[in-house]
Amino acid sequence: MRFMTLYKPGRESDAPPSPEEMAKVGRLIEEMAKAGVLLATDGLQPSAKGARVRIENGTFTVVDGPFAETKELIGGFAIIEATSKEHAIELTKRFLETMGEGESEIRLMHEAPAFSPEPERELLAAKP
Amino acid sequence: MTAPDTHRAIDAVWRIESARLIASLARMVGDVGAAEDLAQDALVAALERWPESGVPDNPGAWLMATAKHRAIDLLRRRTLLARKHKQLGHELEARQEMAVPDLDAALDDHVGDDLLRLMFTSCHPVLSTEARVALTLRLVGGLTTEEIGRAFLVATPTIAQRIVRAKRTLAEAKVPFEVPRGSELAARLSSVLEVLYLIFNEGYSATAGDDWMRPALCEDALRLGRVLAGLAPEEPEVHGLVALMEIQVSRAKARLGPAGEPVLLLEQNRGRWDQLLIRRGLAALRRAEELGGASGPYALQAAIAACHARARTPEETDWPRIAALYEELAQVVPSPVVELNRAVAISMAVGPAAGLERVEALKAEPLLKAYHLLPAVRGDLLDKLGRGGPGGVRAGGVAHPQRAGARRAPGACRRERALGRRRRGSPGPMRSELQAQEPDQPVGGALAPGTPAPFLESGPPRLRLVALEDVGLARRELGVEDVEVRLVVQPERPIVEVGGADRGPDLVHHDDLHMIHGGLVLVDRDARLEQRPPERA
Repeated sequence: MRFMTLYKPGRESDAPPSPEEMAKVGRLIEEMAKAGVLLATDGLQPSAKGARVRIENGTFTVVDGPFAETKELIGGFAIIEATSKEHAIELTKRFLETMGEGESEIRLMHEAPAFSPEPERELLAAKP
Repeated sequence: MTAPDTHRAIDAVWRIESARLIASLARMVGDVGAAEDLAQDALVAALERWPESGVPDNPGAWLMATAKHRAIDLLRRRTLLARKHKQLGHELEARQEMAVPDLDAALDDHVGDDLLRLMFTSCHPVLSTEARVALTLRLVGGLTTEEIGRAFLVATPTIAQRIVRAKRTLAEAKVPFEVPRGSELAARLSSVLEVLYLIFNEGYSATAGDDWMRPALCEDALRLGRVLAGLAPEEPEVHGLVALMEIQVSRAKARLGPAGEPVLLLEQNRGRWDQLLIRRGLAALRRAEELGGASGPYALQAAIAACHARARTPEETDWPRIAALYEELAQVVPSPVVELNRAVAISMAVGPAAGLERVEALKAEPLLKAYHLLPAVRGDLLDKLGRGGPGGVRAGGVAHPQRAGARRAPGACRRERALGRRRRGSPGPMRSELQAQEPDQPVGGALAPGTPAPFLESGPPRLRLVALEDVGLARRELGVEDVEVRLVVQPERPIVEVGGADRGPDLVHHDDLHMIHGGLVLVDRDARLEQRPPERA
């Protein structure tokens, strides 16, 4: 089962993580990778460097970061291969232990692209 | 947390911690069997206590501490015993007394080294292949005996017995708990890789049961492969194998049609290929190549798989490169089946006539005599050349895969793959040789009338694989523990004889035998026995 975990540190600071923090996270990532469960992971830069794009009634709005509601901001993600939700929870606990604070949201992935990149082919095939 | 929740949490903790636990304990007590017992004791303690107390914040440390106490008890008992039995000598005593104070340090360091030792020990050549597989999944993979039994469709007690025997064999052979050095390393590493690839292939093209794939086994093999790559990062073939598995499994979702039927590689919806796994596979392949391992058998097979993975459409497939890679593979591991694959690649790269020329040359090859793919490939090429095949062999191959698929049961393909794959008795890297015409095919087209392997198509799907060299297994699988079982290969008809002191040899009913191939036979799970015909006596 593939899960995406979204880490929300609960705060946002412009200061980059300290070398110690980086080292800790690095070790953890290495350990998870070595355990064969980590498929992909990355941290996200401050929301000031990002933007939110929305469509409503056919109209786009683009709001540049930083975003106000820091509690909900995502600091990083990981894609893990777990055998059960409990397995994913245990792995996430290890991650949070290293981080010391914050919250991770664990979501089960579909593991398959929702759409075929070749829709026209399917359409063609459907024609008599 | 409710009790079932706690049990699931304990399962999860076990899955994460057990290998490390067993590995560290094995170094302490010098014996994987005893180490596993100690780890199991700790698990039992957790199962008793955690539902009451809740799962501790650091469950791994809890399990380790519990197991360590028991290990110390065990070592003390052994030391006492050694004192009592002077004949065991002072050396042992001294060694174990020295070992006790050092335990903490021993446990906390070298976790990675211990895991690697555990893998090498579980895959030790003193064990049968089946034992290696079961022990690896159990000790390194953290699977329960039930899970292993379910995965291989073997009764749990059979697996349990296999594991017990394997542990005894290791103890009796005094297999040291260590990573082999020097010249031994290469051979031992290839045994580990073989075991992982065997597990993977059992998942990728199941040999038993009704499922065409058992993804959980693929995941376990891949997980263990990634672990191994982390432990032995300088070994190119480890990355080669990981690359091969990542890329193969990236197609898992596309390999089955809506009704569960297999979909051939060139017909697959490539949008369903898992790009994350493909990227990981390509990265692992790059790593293997950077380490100078581009011409390793796994890396070469991964490179072939990568050619497909990189092609966004079947037409983009780089067939000339695939043909060249097969040529290289044939030099590293010469095999007529690789040659056959190469012929297919050449036919795709150059044209059917060029491919057919090579196939014709392979017809005299004794190893391919009973290999159904040869006529299937040949029929396909003749088909493309508009000449038709003799004897009704007009197989649907690359060009007409659906046609072939429509005509035959998926189970049959699976069985062929399984058999051909294990045909040589060793689960070596050549398993994907079977993927003639390409990995995902239920092996290239139809088994048309007139092709060899007459025992293949009929019969219920639940089959057991019995190997000639393992009569014990045959006996168990047939449920005739107390009597002799003899497998006899004849050119045109396989015989499985069952007999003993107090009964004449019976034959397993002909209809219950499905395939025999170089020492392997498939027998129905509940095969009937019949009287041996007098003319054969």
